[in-house]
Amino acid sequence: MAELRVNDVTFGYPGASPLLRRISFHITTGETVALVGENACGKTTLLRIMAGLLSPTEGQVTLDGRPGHEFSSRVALLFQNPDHQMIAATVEEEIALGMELRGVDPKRMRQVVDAFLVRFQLKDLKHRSPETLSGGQKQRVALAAVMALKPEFLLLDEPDSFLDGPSRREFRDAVDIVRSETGILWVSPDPRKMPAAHRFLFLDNHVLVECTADELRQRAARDIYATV
Amino acid sequence: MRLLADNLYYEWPQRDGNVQAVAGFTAVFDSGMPQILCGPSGSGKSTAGLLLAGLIEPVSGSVRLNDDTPSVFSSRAAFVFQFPENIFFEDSVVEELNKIAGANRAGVVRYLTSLGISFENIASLHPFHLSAGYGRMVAIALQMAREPSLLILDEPTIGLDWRFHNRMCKVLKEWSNDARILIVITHDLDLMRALDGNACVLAGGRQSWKGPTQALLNDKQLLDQYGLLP
Repeated sequence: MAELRVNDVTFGYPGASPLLRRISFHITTGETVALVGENACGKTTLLRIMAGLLSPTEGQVTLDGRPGHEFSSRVALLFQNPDHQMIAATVEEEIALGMELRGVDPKRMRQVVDAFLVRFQLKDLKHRSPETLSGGQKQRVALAAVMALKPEFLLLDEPDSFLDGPSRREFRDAVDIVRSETGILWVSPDPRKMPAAHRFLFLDNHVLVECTADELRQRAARDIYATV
Repeated sequence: MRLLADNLYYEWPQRDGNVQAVAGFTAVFDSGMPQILCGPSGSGKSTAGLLLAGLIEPVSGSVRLNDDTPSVFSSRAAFVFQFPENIFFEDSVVEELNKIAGANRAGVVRYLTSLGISFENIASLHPFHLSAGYGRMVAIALQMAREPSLLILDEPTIGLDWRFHNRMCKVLKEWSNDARILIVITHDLDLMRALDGNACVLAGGRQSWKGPTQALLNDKQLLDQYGLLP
């Protein structure tokens, strides 16, 4: 069982005070961890650091004890806006793209693409241009494309906040397919919209605390009452 | 003030044939109370919003704001996209403000303050360095500060945390008055409840239901039928 660990990470953008202060936690494969925090508290920044897209000012991220630059291919990140990570002309080409860039054997690549089109209910859409799909369909294509690379950890940045009820349920069903084979960190801005998870983290005022789902919901309810 | 959509048709061009997004859309949107535009995924909401704002031209049909065509009223209309980072062009928030004709600093400061954001704290930041939620709120405040006659917002509350969501509901409700039309495209039932007003439900690219927002919210069968249940 692999472990993705954030060790005492501090990060600040140039010219600004630290956004994240001494953040430490870990995820293991097979578990889903929900991370909730207010707008602009550093949730997306933390995911980018964990995916190796940003370097922490202090501290480090390790996977099974190895530093970030050695494991980036084992951690996948799904952006908030799926348009930001889809560049291929068709759905099936989008799913194949990552494997193609890694030099996977074409025959093997074809098998994986076909399997993922079925697995994520995308077979009927395989010749469609991703830009013509609905938000829910796009997010399922983006998920299939990153999962085709068999990452051990999946970082989801508010992946369904823009989806309506039916599309959100479809997307969460798609995530359920891969829950047991990856460790998932699911970021959400609202405790009322959190996914089912094994553990809950709250990023509050630059620091991270572990809490229960009920504590998060109570906190949100209290704040909503205060702003009414 | 009245915005009229008369039998609008629109197709998005694709390599493998056009996709019809809006088909026979006829609707009326009045000032004085918020107007909700909702419907299931793929029903043509965003396309309808772009047509109403005059940002795209219909294949057939027409849009009128009182008696004006889009070419006449477009300078008095504003549209904020679902992912507003797509409409930031400058290197700082304050430069964005300076480039938007008719938007004054005092107005932006006032709307952002109402949302709980200090303009001074973000003025020098690059718009792409704002969080997604802040970016959305800044884009909305910049357009509101133009005080347009017609403001159309595509999913203004997605990705907002519980505090900002509440404040956004209040700011939008207060913005709507007799002299201007506010149309909010959304699937957020909490926002609909807070805004009240009238709702137009799209299905298959045309208006399928219209009535008071509260009547829609109180009809669970209707909400389910149009994919609006959370």
